[in-house]
Order: sequence, then structure tokens, then C-alpha cells
Amino acid sequence: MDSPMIAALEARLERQRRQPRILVFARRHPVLVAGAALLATMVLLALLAPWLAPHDPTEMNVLQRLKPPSADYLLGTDALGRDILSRTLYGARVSLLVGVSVALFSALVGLGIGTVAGFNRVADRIIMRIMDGMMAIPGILLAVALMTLIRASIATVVIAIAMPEIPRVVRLVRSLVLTIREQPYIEAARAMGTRLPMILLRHVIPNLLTPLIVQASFIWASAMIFEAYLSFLGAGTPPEVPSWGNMMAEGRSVVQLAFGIILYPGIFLGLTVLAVNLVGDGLRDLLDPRIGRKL
Amino acid sequence: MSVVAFPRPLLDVRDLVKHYPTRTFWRDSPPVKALDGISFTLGAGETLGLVGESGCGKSTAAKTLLRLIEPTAGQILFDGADIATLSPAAFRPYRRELQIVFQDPYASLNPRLRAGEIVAEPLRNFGWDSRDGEQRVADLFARVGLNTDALKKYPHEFSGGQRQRLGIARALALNPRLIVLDEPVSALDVSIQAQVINLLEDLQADLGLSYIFVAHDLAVVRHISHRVAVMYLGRIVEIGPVDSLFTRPLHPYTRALLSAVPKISPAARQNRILLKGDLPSPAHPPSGCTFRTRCPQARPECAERAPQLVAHGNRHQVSCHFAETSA
Amino acid sequence: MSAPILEIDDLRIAFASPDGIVRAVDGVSWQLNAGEMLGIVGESGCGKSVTAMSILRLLPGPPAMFASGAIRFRGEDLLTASEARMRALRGNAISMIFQDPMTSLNPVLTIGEQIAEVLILHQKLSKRAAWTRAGEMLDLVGIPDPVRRLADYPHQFSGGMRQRAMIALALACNPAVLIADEPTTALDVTIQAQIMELLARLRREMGTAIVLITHDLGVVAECCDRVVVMYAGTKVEEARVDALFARPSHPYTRGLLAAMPELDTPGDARHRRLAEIPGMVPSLKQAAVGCRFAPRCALADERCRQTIPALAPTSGEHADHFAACFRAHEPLPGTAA
Repeated sequence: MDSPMIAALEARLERQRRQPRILVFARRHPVLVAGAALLATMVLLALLAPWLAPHDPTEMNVLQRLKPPSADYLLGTDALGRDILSRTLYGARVSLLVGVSVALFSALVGLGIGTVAGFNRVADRIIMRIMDGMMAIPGILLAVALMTLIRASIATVVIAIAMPEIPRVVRLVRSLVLTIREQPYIEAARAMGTRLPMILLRHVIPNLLTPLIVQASFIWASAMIFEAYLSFLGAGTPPEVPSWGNMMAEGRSVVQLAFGIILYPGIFLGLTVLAVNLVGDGLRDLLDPRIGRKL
Repeated sequence: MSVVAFPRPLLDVRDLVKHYPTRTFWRDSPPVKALDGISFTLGAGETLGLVGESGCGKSTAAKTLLRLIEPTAGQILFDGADIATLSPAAFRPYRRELQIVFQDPYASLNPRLRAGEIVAEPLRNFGWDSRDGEQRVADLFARVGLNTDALKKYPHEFSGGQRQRLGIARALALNPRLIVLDEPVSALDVSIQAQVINLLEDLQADLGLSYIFVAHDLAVVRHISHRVAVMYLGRIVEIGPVDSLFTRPLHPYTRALLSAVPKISPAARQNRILLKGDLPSPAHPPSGCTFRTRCPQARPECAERAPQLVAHGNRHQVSCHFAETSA
Repeated sequence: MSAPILEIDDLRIAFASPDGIVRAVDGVSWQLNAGEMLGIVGESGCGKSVTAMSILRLLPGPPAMFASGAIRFRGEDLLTASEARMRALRGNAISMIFQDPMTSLNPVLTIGEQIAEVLILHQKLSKRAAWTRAGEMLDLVGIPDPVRRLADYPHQFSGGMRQRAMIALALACNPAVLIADEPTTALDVTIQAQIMELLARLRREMGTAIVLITHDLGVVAECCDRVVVMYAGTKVEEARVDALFARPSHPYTRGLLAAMPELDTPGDARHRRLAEIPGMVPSLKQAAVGCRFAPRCALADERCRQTIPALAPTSGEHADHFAACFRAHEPLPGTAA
């Protein structure tokens, strides 16, 4: 026997239960769903670029330089007569690939180094001093310096962007490890005779993955911006690769003639970064048990 | 001293010391004396209750026995062998003999592992093959009163009492001879607490386990223990058979502790001995008898000489200069 | 008897989550008289703390939590009072102390500043007068060298001292009602004894009515006048303390008492098994069909499982002893009557 108040609540819950689950989820986590939808669109565009792009992104056509949008070139052409739409679509591939790779690379390296630092006092002192040193160098300088030393390719760009991110990941992982290692279940594992490598693999790392994944999503977003920076400075992806950063860098000199060369890659970059950040925020809220779930 | 009931102690702890060095930014401070030389024995099938207030060192003592905390000095003779100074590798086989159940049944279970995996972990660590291990885990679940459909559940899907059963099953997995129970029921509700206490008593009767039962709840300790040690500021101030200690407490601290427990029956209420103030810092313990700053019977000589544990009757020892006169 | 100072009337509190509606408090009523100490006991999840928090409206509002019924303080319904009115009451006419004093003490303000702030806010005292009064409050709760300790921060106090400081803060404005939610649970027994002694003395001296929320039947037996026993969001028994412990009626109350090891059991009885209450607390996500305790009750029959028992006077000599049980007077199987 329920009071009218509870009966009304139960009825509302029942209505919700009858709705499709995805709809209920979307209403509870609008940020995550919006971000994921936007991101999925971008990924789809990137994957389908060969089929969607009306032109070869590297095909030059000197007769069609700096054309305004037309039926043949929907977003116009750049200074070498290449199709901006096609280049923008292909640029999504580079941006997303660099973003994901940087996130994965820095997360994995940071996880390894941070875990060691969190569990070994001597290693901790050495590692953290090195990390402090790395943090003292502005990220952009470090990356530009690295790029001048090594031959430009997408892989080297990834490493150059990941380097300044690693100390931040290490700090995060280390502080998580320091918290987790004081948990009673770690003490319990020691009492059960579990050896250190197993303690790390079974007990420590699985329990720090959640915050690490959230952090990695933010690195992903900032890496895409970073990639554009580097390209803009001429220290990024090789110029022949159609990345958003390269397009904007090339468009700089002709911005008064063809604003679209900078505008369209810029919009795509902004939207993609926004999407990834929304997903990161959404994930953080979804995975944080402290943020209560409302009906 | 010959002991009739428990002829050969399974565990013989001698002068166990744990000091934590403390260093502030500019100078060294005296160490925190978490354990300041405690000695006791424990026979096979026996339960020793370790009681005292927070900060008295009872949990430190319990964890030091298992080398979860490294002792600063002293001996831990387990079945005649000193395990206090063994290297971690040499100590590892003893993990099978000495096990522990923790206070917080939730925090001591890895939230990302299933119940079956949690209980199987000690078996894996000591080389059980997975088929025997599975059978053993199923047996253990039955032994502690958990259904086998609980095997696949995660810790958060259990109630507090079930989680503690899980912790007990894990401790039993390797057939230990001694289990340290570190406040195993203090996080549980009364009705669940009774279930767990009964389970622990059944297991002891069936398997001949020895228990070190750390608790602050004196009624629970009285119920489950054969002998009880009362700790204060890292020392044992009184130790003896449970009935003797509870009916004839000799140390003023034990008396104050017993009188402070709220009692349901009005007839059981005695004059409450209200202790003054709080526990002194274990980094700066008072001189002489460490209890003298709160002792209602302190005299000048208590500040000068530290009392030693002295026998008063059958296996009942107390560390107080005036235990006889004030009793 | 005069009108009760605080009256809970058919209080229902539900928490809404995607997994279901939790009926944390399911139709509870009780009264607190002026100067009285009322104990509310029960195990975790029985709704005792939720009830306490709801009195000062410290719980989240909709859409997370819904409440119905009435909470009347001197006749005024607090459930429907304005937020401004509640702010005026909190810490002034009704105060609350918690299990963990650090939750209600601000770590970056000194104890003196915190007590003085309340006095300036509610009693409109001058800064100097408030400071003097704060010193008197610390003295009242037995903190040695009170004037000097006013300048200390909470972390400079020990656990017991913090609890005293929180009590001083709660009582600074001389509230009519003090709600103490597990005030001694985190403390050692010797400190618990000090704090309970302090609460009893303050009640005598200041006439504050106290609601003591606890799981410890011993504390209730020693300190309270009346007691309400809660189980799974409902009130299962209510009586004067002496009557409840002399003649517990509801099988749950009886089960709880039997499950507790006694400190003064004689040696031969020590090895009796503790009486268990089998099973565990039911999920509150389903509406109650019969008695909430029936699945764990040795006396339960078909009627108990089908009909919710109403609170009824027990047939004892005490007219103010109520239990919500059809079979309150029958002996439990397996125990001596």
C-alpha cells in the first residue's frame, strides 16, 4: 500500500521503463550522447572520405585557383586549385588519427611510468624530477624542438605532441596509485600472498583506468588543436598531407582572397574538439559514482 | 610457566616493537611508539581478544603479526620459528598459515573482481590448478553460507554481512592455522553481527583455528574470546582468561573501560568511572606508567617507574603498581 | 501533558532513482515532548537518519527525493515552510549534531569564529558579546582552558574535543530541540561515556529536548526517556525505555536484544550461541505488502505476509507501549519466554 506520492513516482518510473532505453539514457546523459553523436559523425566522415570527397585532395588544378564555392567545388578551391571540401574531409582522418594516437600513446606511457613511480620510492624521486623538468618546458617549444630534430611524419608529430602530455598523465597515475595502494584490498592481496606484479595488474591498474580514460579523452581533444598549431607553425605534419592545420597555414597568406580555406577546416576542428570534450565530460559524470543519478 | 589447556603455544610473541620515525621539516621528532614491547602467547584453537581504544596499537599489533607492517624489533615465534625477521621470500610460505579478515568488508574487496575470483586469488597465488581451485571455492562458499550463484557477483551487489562472509571465505582458502580478525564485525549491524560471530565460532570448532580477535566492542570480545589482552598506548596493560579479566579487572584502565560500556539492564550498571581527557600522543607518552595522566588512582611514584606485567592469579597479568590495593 | 514540541506525522520519504523508488521512510509518526530525550534506534537503512535529516530539511529535494506527511515544530509544518524560515530555525531553535564533527565544523575557521558567527547571525549579539558567549559555551561543554581554545582550528582538537565543540556550536543559541545523529558512534567508549554524560547534563541545565538517533541499544537504555524502534522505514515499536527493555514486544526488538552479546554474561552462559535474525533487511524498492519484518520473523504467518500490522497498544501495564505486530505477545520459538 503506497501513498499517493509514491504511487505517482512509481507511475512515472513505469512510463520511463516503457520508453526505449536509448531515449532514457539520452535524457539522463545529454552531454555524453550529444558529444558521441557529433564525434560519430566526424569519424564517419573521416572513414568515408574516399567515397564522399568529390575530388582527390592532392589533385592540383592551376586553372581553378582560389575559386569561390560552386557546383563542382562545393567549398571552393585553395591557392593550388585543390578542392577544399575534399581536403577538409581527408583532414578529419589526420586530425582524428593524431588525436587518438597521442591519447593512447601518452596514456600508455604515462600509465607505465606513473605506476612504477607510485610503487617504488627511489624510482619515484628520479622519475618525478624528470617530469618536473619536462613540465618546465612549454609544450609547444618541446614539440617544435623535437620536430626540428626528427623527420616530419604523422608518427613523429604524434610523439612530439605526446611528449609534453606525458608528465601530466604520470602525475595523475602516480597520485591514483598512491591512493589505491593504501586501500584495504591491496593490503588484503598482500596478506593472501599475491606478488607485486599481480597486485599491479589485477588490483591497481583496473581501478585507475576510469579516471585515466577520462583524462585520455581530454588529451585527445587538446592533441587535435596542438596538431593544428604545429602545422600552422610549419613544424607539424608534412605539408603534402591534407591536415586541417596545414590547410589553415596555407590559407593564411590568401585569407583576404579566400576566407573559406581557413574557415572550413577551422569549423571542423572546432566541432571535433567540442565533440571529444563533451564525450570526456559525459564519461566523467557517467563514471563518477558521487554524482547521483536522477529519475 | 606450564599451561594446562594449551600445552604448546602456536604463536609466541615476545617484546614486539613498532616505532614510526617522524620527521618534521626542520628536525627529527621522537618516534611514534605504536607498539612498545608487547608479549603474549596463543594456543591452537584458542581465541585471544585484543581490546583497547583507537590509537592503542591493537590493529598495528595484528597487522605486524602478518608482516603487513614490518616490526621494528622483537620476535614472533610461529610454531617455534621466528617469522619476524624472515626475508619476504622466506616468509611467503607462512602466508598460508596466517590469514586475516579485515574490518571494512567493502574496502577490503577489489570492486572490479567477481566474488569467485576474489576467493580464488590466494589459491592461484599458491599454485592450485584451476579445476581443484574451482571446487575449493565452491566448497568455501558453502562453508561460509553463500550461494554458488554469488560466485559471479561483484562486491557491491552483496550486503555488508555477505561481504564479510566473502572475506572469511578468502581467509579460509589456504587452510590457515591462525586467522587475525581485525574488527570483523564492527561495521555490521547487530542482527548480522550475530550471524558472523556464530559462523566464526563454528569454523573454529570445526577446523581448530586460532583467532586473534581485535575489537573495541567489549561485549563481543567477552563472548568470543578465551583470553583477553587490554592495550593502552602501545602496551598490554592487562591480560588474562576472559572470565577472570571481566569479573575481576585489576588495571584501573580495564575497570574504566568496562564501566564505560552502556548497559541495557539497569542492574548491570556500575558506578561509571569517567576518565579525564583524551589519549596522550604516542610520540610523547607520559613518563613512568603511560596511563597515569588519566588514571583516577595515580600517585607520584607512577610518574617515576614504569610498571611491568606481573602475575595475579592463574594466568592473569596486570601492569600496575597498585593493582592489589585498588582492586 | 502539554502539546509536543516536535511532531512527526505520517512522514513518508522516497528517493527516486532509475532502479526504483526507495521508500526510505514509510509512514512514521512520533512526538517529542519538551525537555525529553527520545531515542530512535534501528539498523542501517531503517530510515532513522533520513528522518532526522528531514526535520531540518537537509535532504536533497525533488527530483531526487520526495516527502509527504508533516513535521510540526511548535505546530508549524516544516515540510512546507519557506527556505528563509528554515534558515532562521536551523542552528537556532533546532540544532543538529552528527557522527563526524568535521562535517559540520569548517576547517579554515577557528572554533571561536564559528560559534560567534552563529550567535551574531541568530541572536544578533555584538562581536564582543558573541565571543564571550562562545567562551562560555566551550566551558559549558567541558573544554579546558576555553578562552584560549577559541582561537584553535578544528584540526587542533582531538576527536572527543571536536564532538564537544560541535555540541557547543549546536547549543550556542539555546535550541528547543537538538537532533543528535549517532553522536558517539565514531568515538571510543570512554569518550562516548563523557559525551553522553555531557548531553544528559546539558539537557538538565538547559531543558533542551533531544532526539537521539543511534544503533546502540545500550546508549538508549542508559540515556533516553522513550524509544522508537524502526525497521525498514517503519516504526515497529514505541515505549518508555524501562518498559521496552523489560518487555520488548515486537519480534524484531526481541531478536535484536537476543542477538547482542552481553557484557555481564556469566562464564557458563558465554558459550551459548547468539540468537541470529536470519536473512537481511528487505529491499525498499517494492511497496510493502505485509509486515516488512515477516520474511525474517519466526512468528510470521499468512496474515503477517498479507496485511500490514497497525501500531497497537501492547497488553502490558504500560499504556504508552505500542508495537506493530499481530503476534506481539507470543513467545519466539527456540527461546525461553
